[in-house]
Amino acid sequence: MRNVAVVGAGVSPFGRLDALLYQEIGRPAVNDAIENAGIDRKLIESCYYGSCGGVGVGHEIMNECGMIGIPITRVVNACSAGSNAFRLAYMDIASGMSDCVMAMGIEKMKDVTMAVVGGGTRFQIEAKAFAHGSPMSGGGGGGGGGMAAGFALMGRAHMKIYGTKVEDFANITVKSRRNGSKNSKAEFQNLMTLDEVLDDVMINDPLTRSQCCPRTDGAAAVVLMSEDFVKKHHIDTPIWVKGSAMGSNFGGANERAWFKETGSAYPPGFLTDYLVAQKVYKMAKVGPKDFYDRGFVECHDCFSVSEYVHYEDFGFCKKGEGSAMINDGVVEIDGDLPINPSGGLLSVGHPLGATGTRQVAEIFWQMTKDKEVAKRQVPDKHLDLGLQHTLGSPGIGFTNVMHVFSRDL
Amino acid sequence: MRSIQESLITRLKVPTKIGNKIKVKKCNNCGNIRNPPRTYCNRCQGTDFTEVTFGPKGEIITYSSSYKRKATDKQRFFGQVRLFSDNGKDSMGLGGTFDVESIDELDIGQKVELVADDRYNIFKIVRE
Repeated sequence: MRNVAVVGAGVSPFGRLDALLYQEIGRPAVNDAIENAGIDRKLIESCYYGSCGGVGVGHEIMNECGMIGIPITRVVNACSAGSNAFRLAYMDIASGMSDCVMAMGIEKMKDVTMAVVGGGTRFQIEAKAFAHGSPMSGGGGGGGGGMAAGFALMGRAHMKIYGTKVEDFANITVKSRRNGSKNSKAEFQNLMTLDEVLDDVMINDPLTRSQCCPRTDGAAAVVLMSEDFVKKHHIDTPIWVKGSAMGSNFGGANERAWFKETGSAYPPGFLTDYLVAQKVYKMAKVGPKDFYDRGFVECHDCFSVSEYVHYEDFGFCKKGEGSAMINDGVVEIDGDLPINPSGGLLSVGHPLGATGTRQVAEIFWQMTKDKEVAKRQVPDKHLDLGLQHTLGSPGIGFTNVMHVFSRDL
Repeated sequence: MRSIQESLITRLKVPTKIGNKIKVKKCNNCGNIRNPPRTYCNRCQGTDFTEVTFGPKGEIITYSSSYKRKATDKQRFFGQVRLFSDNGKDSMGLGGTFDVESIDELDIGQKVELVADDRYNIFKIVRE
């Protein structure tokens, strides 16, 4: 396999962009990525884009950006669509098929329906709440359900088994808003206190509204290059992809696997996240301890509970010890292991198809010390390694994608 | 003569919920519980099953409360329950709502019973 680098990134403002066309959201992100890379757009040989609701919109955007005739592939894989698009772009170059590829993601959440994201499944999304509600909230009828509901059930089990407190989950939102306040692209840039988070509207106990990511519109694009092209085009600051891993699991099987171990049908964590983390660490020849003092993380904090269990599933701490990570400031920008310096999904927002590429853009900007992240710059010593992660639920199971990045080849 | 479509159907046209009990299939080859029942096991692809009856007794695995969009919406409480088989050898997870007025009435590990209801899985608390 050939070495692959990220060489440029562009992100649109995130928020409610109902009045804009897909082209109007996506074109600035694509053009910014090309300008950020400092390359001629004619070098782009193919494009992969994540979008769960936008049929053919990537083709329109690339056409509007003057890249006509290249192979363009749409990826639909729920919350992991953007990460999957990036992974396919990486594989396109690593395999030797292409030398310069664009990975892009775009979403207008009003077009995302139950039919394309987990309709009628274990983690049911209540259509009205998803399409029109404020957060990704669960409905209450019948047996409950909804994305928030699933994570709330996980949080409750975690509290019972490990003694975790509601304040521990809520503090993740406090940290997220603190970082998001330094991100001009984030949907939420306001600070919140612990009391404000806890006193917010209850969605599914113990998750209040501000512990649920908003439904957000937006786009993000990154340019990838082969090692040969990086040298040929004199790219000064390539960020190398050192590991790429993906896994999936059927929800029921996942539950049963943990059923015997924890006595819980809703495991307080994701077995697949653990397994995919092991795969990506092995490929990148790193371990979770390497990220302490040397690295930082952009992970899928769709709910406060999800970021919390990722600490444990990625091996950053033992099961039941996630509270110290958040309460002792370990995961702050100036902590031992900065997590979601962008503000994460909780503050930046979560356009399903764009989230993965937006996370890669954040890692690229952080590692290249781009002016875009000047207000939230992770300290130098943490810029050796970057970890990107998304967790998608495209139906009845999970799709987990992780990448490891490094400044060194 | 069966159509091609009919020949591919693997769903079993049997009621899984009878009163306050659930009838499901257990694979004789690998022990996998198949709910809803099909003609094959999704783990080992076996086709030899034993019928096992679960409920009404169970215990709460985890729980939460529903989102009240309007103040007038009824607050519901839902979660996952581990139902035990008649012989006590097997258990299975089942989602549903709890027949309680407050979340304070719920706790993980609490004993519950499945209520006879054709439409929903409803659990009532067992007071000891």
